[in-house]
Amino acid sequence: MTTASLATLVLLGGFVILLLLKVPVTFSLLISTLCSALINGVNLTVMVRMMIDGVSNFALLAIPFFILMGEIMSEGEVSDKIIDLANLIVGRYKGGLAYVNCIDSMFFGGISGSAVADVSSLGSVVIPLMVKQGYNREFSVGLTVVTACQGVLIPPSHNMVIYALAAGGGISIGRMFMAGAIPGVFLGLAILIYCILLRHHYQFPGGIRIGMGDPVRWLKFSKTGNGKWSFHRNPETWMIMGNPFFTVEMGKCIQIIVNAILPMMTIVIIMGGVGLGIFTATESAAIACFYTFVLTYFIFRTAKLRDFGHVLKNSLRTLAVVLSLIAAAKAFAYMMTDLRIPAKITMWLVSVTDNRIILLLIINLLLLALGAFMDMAPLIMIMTPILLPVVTSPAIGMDPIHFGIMLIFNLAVGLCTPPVGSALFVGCAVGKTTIEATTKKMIGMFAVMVACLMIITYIPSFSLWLPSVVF
Amino acid sequence: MNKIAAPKGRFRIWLEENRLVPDPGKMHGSSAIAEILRVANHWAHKLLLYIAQVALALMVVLVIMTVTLRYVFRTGIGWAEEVPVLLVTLFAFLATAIGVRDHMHISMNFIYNIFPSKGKIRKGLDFFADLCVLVCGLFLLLYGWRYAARLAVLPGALPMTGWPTFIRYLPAPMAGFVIVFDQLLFMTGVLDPDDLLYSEKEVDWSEVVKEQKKEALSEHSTEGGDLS
Repeated sequence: MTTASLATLVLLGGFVILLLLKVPVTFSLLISTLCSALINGVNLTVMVRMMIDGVSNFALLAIPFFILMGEIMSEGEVSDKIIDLANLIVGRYKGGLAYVNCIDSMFFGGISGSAVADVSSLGSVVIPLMVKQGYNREFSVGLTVVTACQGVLIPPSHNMVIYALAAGGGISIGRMFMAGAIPGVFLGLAILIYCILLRHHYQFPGGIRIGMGDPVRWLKFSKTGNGKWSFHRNPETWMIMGNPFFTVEMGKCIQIIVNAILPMMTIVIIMGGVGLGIFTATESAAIACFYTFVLTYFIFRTAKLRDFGHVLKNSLRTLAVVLSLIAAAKAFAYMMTDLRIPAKITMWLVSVTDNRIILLLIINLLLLALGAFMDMAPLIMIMTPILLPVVTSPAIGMDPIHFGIMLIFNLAVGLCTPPVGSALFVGCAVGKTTIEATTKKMIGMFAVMVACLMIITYIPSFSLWLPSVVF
Repeated sequence: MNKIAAPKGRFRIWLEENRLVPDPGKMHGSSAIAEILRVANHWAHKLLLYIAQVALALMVVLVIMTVTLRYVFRTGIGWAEEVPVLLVTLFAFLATAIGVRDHMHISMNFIYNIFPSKGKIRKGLDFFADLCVLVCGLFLLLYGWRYAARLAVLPGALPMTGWPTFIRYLPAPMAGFVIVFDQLLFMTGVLDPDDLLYSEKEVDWSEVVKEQKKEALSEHSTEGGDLS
């Protein structure tokens, strides 16, 4: 066995074994890299340099900013406002809360880029409401978990930044953001349609408005005094103080809309700012972070400024994981390139088949299998340097941005599949049910997700149309 | 109650709440050294937390300042990109160390969970994981220090600020030192693994779900006795 192949074996095999032995992902990466470097005769100081270089990047600043933004939002209890808005739009129909569950995740995705945060903050409100109204508990949990996956696709999402960094800096983060918007909304709408189609099968209960009157029914269609059917003004909502359009209910509606739209302006700041070229993705993240800060502490005043240190502390949990992972993965990727592993894998995969459709199917199945066992951020960091050369090779000729969206969408499915799915775990814990029972109810939704994944894989314009229009 | 004792100042209360003063009950005999080390560790991490928080806040402020200067005053400062990058490097490595201190780093524990809790295999795996982290800490400390020291004697400066190049690489040995310090205290049993500074004890969702499964099963069995 040559030194290079031994080093390859230690790098990849050692990593998997350490991982299975419950060594944290960051340190598994680092130890296998160091051992492999020692075997291959690479100076270990190079690894220090690589780790530092991995996190010395202006684009990387966007990650702490987005995570801090999400923490401030959750401190300010934005989820209630978002649920109110979703309820205003679809709450009144049969199965209303199920649709609310789909829509609110879409809105929340525009604020936070984390599926887990989505499940824990929205789920803790919506799941008990759904159960109380007579929805199946496992179905409610499953729906919350699946819809939460929109959050990682709809901008702003720090996973997009991680991908752009893992891909080696040649990819514009702004374009990645734009590219994720349509697939994210598409997933939400697909699940929404799934719910609408199955509303009789699951026997969804009727709609209800939480803490609100009937906001939009200004006209009533009913029998009038002379026995004829006609539209007439709904006395409950129509005309107070002589103003035909402004009623008490209407006022409430406007309040709900404003309360929910203000936090969602962050997406306008980010998409608009980056799309119009006013500022870079990192700068937009800082501005959105500042905007959220002002909104929560000075306009809504739903959180106390005294507890801001606490918010900073909370954001450390996610940041410790993500940033250390980026540093370690950079050294790992350097070692992989040094041993020409990506090139070898590309050669091998292309020699198996050079059919674009089959190759993409193989990659998707591989990622789905890995995603079932591992979390999203480590997989993005590890798999991007390996697979990106494969898909951008002439045989497939995929756009790196399209691949990024496919990768993140695929790994989002992994967030809600057992045995390891962080969103599923949190959902089951919040909804007080078991993983087995929830998974059974989720099979249909998994099918919808995989169907969406296939559409996004094979129709590039889903991901590439919006960035091509904007930029 | 003894009312003669001087009332505790706010500073004193803060110190005690954050466990920054030694517990007088443990300050005798051989446990005194352990207690002093524990307090030193708490102080070190209090400092680390403040540095991390200030770095994070400063990053936001500096980036916003750049945008404001560009659009409102039509000017800019050269170092406004370099300093945030230095800060995020510092922050990333400090966060790594903080993650080690509070066991925040994610690991895959579905094989670990197969074995009985508090069994020998689990203890062995825990020890092995601790050892791996210690090795990484030593690597960061020794090689990071070596690299920074080598750069310190070479001429060279960062392009905008003119600061010496080696400060870019200082976060690595810093984080390495803290990781080694914490990990040695954990492995010698001076620090209790549940003694968390930055967070509440993390909920292990897989364990929570397991508990719920047990509950569901027991409920099920009491209802109909139908356990298939």
